[in-house]
Amino acid sequence: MSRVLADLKAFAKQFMRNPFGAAFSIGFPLLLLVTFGAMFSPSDSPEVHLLIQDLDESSLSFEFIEDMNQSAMNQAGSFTNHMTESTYVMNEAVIREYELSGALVIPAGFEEKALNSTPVDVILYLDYSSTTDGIIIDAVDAAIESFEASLTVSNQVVGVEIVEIDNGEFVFIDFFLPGIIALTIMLNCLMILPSLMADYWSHGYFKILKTTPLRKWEWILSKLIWYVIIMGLSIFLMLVVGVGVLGAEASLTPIAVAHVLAGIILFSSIGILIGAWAKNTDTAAGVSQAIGQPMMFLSGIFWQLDELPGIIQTISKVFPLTYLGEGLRATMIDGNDSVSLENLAVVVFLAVVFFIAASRLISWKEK
Amino acid sequence: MPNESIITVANLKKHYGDIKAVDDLSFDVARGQIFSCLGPNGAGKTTTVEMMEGLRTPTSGSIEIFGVDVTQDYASIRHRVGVLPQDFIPFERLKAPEAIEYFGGLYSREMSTRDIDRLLETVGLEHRKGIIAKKLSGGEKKKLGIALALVGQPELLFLDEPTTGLDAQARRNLWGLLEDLRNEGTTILLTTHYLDEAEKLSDDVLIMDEGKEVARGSPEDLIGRHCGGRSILLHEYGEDSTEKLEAMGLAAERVRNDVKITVGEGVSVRDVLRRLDSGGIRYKDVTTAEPTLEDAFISLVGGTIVSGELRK
Repeated sequence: MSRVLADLKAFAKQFMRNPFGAAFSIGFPLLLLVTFGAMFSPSDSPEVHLLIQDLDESSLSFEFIEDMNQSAMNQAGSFTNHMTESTYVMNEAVIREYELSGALVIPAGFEEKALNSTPVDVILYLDYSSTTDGIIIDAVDAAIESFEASLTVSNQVVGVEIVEIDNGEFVFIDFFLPGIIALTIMLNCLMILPSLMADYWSHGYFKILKTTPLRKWEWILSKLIWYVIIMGLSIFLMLVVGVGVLGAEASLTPIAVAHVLAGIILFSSIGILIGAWAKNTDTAAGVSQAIGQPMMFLSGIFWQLDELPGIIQTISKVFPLTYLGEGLRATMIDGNDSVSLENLAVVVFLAVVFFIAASRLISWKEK
Repeated sequence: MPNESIITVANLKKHYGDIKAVDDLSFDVARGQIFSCLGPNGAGKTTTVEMMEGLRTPTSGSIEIFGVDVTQDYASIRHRVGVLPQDFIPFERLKAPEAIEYFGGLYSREMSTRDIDRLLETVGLEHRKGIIAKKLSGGEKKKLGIALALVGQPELLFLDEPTTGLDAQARRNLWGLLEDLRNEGTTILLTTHYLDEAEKLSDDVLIMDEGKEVARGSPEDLIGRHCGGRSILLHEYGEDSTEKLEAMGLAAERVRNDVKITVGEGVSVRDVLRRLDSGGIRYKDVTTAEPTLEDAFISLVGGTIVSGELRK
């Protein structure tokens, strides 16, 4: 282990003294995150899908809905509403299923209480983390004000009971943050390592190392440890900026950590395989880009896969980055650990296969 | 254990297609000696050494170091061997003390600041501690390579062209260091194309050409066997050719503006000079010289010597 630590320490010093290496590992992902986060942040006029459930089905409840529609029209954005059967039980799952921004329930007995000047609450299911929550609250408040004016009652009768929900919607930064983490791992391990190895070949470093007691697996292990450290730092900064500054709703779960570790092993191993084959910097860079660039754009990092043509969706299944990105997104954003674990299984399997191949095929001997 | 062989090479071949870089080479190296592999560029010295260092796989033949077949298990002897490759480039973004500390870790040797300073002093880099290797001069990089080869306190040291690029003073300092190491029991396998270096340092010399052994022995032995005796150098010899001298029965060859006459056994220098005077040979000055390894090499391989370096 002392040899691994010695190699790690020396490599870390060389890496950090190379301004390009540090900038690419830490600066570039942050730049991408901030740029794309700003470019695709929610616009001022988002579409609002508010479901209105009328359990009273009275003339006053219809009137309230009319006021609500009028109020909605005055708000930025567009509302859609639905009349639903009174037996329909409103909950978070329904809101998620129909991809709603929220729901407003007019309770049974609404008319009777309103006519008797008895306080009555409409129930608003609302996701405070959503970008549309303010628009919905303003619209409901305006509707109540208009409705009460028509009632000509002296005291406020209609109130709002807010039930906080998670409507499962995410904004672009939520979608993008796990993707950029996956992309950073891929770029650093798959695109930097081959060039670094080509540099080792051209400078004769492998030749020197081969004459020392350092073993190949120890060299590989020290690189993996280094990438865990540098990627850990990079991901920490991305989370700070993504969550703290850009308002992403992401959490670093144990499954996400497992994805990061497996992803580093997977893409480092592919990088080492390329580096073992290509022994000059130009070839290494060319092969890395030929593999990395299609993966970067066709693995659902920048765009949701289900929005892409069917052929692209099929191609994306070939790329390991797809599984890393989808797995991270499922656990960090959706909280859907079962989907994340399915993706993790693919990443771990590929990591094992490529790590064994890299360990066996790398040679420090001159050809 | 004096004269114990720690390297045994038998019928070693390395072929690249039709090119026979090393062709059926056999030799052994005794413990505690400086063994020099001598030959012009392309003689196969580096290929031979790199096969011994486990860096290249022989086409056929065997190499045993410390009794271990290095083609099968070089890893088991790595900690006993130090290597300076011919084309050594240090890790460019490490400073010399950091590189030494790094190699100390690879050889599982705890290097104190004092150990590092002492090693830097040994190779003459103590004043360049704060500089990253990329900014060192060519000679300084070579010195760092020698320091790294010494970090593991090796029993066997491979030095491939260690003084190429060093100034005269640095070369002499390195010679002193190598003699000290030999006196402490380190076996050194040196490849060089500097004949004076090989003659000064070596206990045993292997002269190679075109991948084969041309001659083998101590410098004294090689000189004795392959040189004709003392020589006379006629400076600014007036004739265009050496025909006149050869007609007088003298073994003469032109060396730039001068002519070298080899004095045969049983013949005195005075006799030769007398014959030159009586034959009306004109020259500006005359010096005499003992035969050297250079003479033995030229006699064996041919070629010329430029600035002490072998050319063919």
